Amino acid sequence: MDNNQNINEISLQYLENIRQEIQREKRTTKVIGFSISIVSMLLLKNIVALMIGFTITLAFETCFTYKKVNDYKIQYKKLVVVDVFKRLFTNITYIPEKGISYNEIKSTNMVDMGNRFYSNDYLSATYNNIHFETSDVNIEEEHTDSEGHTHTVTLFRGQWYIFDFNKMFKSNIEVCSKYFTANKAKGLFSSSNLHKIELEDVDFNNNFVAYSDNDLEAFYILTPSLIQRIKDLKNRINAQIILCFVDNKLHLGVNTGKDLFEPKISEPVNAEKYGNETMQSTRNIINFINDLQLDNDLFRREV
Amino acid sequence: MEIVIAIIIIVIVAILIWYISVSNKLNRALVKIDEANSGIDVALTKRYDVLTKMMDVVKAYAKHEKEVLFEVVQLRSNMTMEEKKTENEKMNHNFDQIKLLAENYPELRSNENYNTLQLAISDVEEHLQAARRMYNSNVSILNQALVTFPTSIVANSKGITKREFFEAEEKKREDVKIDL
Repeated sequence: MDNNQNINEISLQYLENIRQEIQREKRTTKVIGFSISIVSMLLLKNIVALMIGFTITLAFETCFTYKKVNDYKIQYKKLVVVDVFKRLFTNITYIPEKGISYNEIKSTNMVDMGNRFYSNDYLSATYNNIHFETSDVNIEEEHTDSEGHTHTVTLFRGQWYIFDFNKMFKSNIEVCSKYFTANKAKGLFSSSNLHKIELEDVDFNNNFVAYSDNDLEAFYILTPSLIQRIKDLKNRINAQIILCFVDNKLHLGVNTGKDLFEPKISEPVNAEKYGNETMQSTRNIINFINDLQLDNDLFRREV
Repeated sequence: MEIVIAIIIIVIVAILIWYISVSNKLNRALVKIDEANSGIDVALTKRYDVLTKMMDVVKAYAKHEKEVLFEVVQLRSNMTMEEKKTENEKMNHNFDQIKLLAENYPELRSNENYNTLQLAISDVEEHLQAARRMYNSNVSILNQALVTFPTSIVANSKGITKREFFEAEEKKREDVKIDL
């Protein structure tokens, strides 16, 4: 235990040294770049030169330190985040550089996949015999208008979870927060073979849209208690959610608009603070399993 | 004069389109109700099959019981909703009897076959609940349409009447709460 602690302390000190080195490089780049910009402005007597200089400096600084910052974050995550996971889950595989694949999310036919896809912080683990996978996912649509301006629209940014589901089923069922614009099943010209279904809960119908290719199985999966739990989940996390029941798995997309587990380069290495933040974010996974009672295995066996 | 004729034609065409659209909507609702109704039939049959298997297992353990009062359940095609309810209640009674007997025979509760059937009955109950909810949801949509003016005019002209709900009894709801 003491040995581990020492290794951790040494590792944390090593990380802090890297961080300080990156910060020094960032500062040096800024000082040189801003000085050149000011001199250029004075020589050219034009404020625009200053603006351009500042922009180039910031872009150069980001490019120059990008790899180092990325490596620092990965090492920090591997050291602290994995430790938090070990305390909560079993059978852990954590790969910060990897994420849930494009094809895996596309196969659900839940969201518009845009033309830019990123995912990282892949975690595969087990909690109360429930296997799950999760990662940060960012889906964007980039397009250029007739005047040549490029616009980027974020279709989904948040966390994607794939849980083992406790009922056996063959159809596809989708539940989506109303007004979630990236939902693919909606619309008259959708290629999806899902159709909208009305459930008996008026409040649920006001806040969510449900689609299915088999009404009876949709009612089988979306029991009144699960409907209530989905409503409670939505109220608790206060973000748009999308759920898809496919291949005996539950896909849950939470459109939080942010990435999790990202340490800030501007803040000193603080394993306790970062660990607590990670613990808080990670507890959400447990809350999802508990909220949706996915560990209730009464129906898991095929009968 | 021509304008008046044109307006009359437009109005008639509009009424005709509206009538066809409402009529199709009601037809779709009826088809959905029939689908849901057959879902109930399937679920009831499954429930009947599992309960019959459970009764066989229980009877093997309770040979020396003087009388085990199981109701005779008769499922057939084209049953009315009232008949379905009656047969379902008989199944509830039989399931209660099975549970009562299981309490007297601890070895029955540890029988693997019996436990598998208990899991099966829970799943079947969930399917029956799903079929019932889907049926009632569709009946509710149709019944609401029938009392809404002017849809009621189309419904009356087609002779469509209100459908009966398949109500869930409290006792049946408790079936899924099995202590394993």
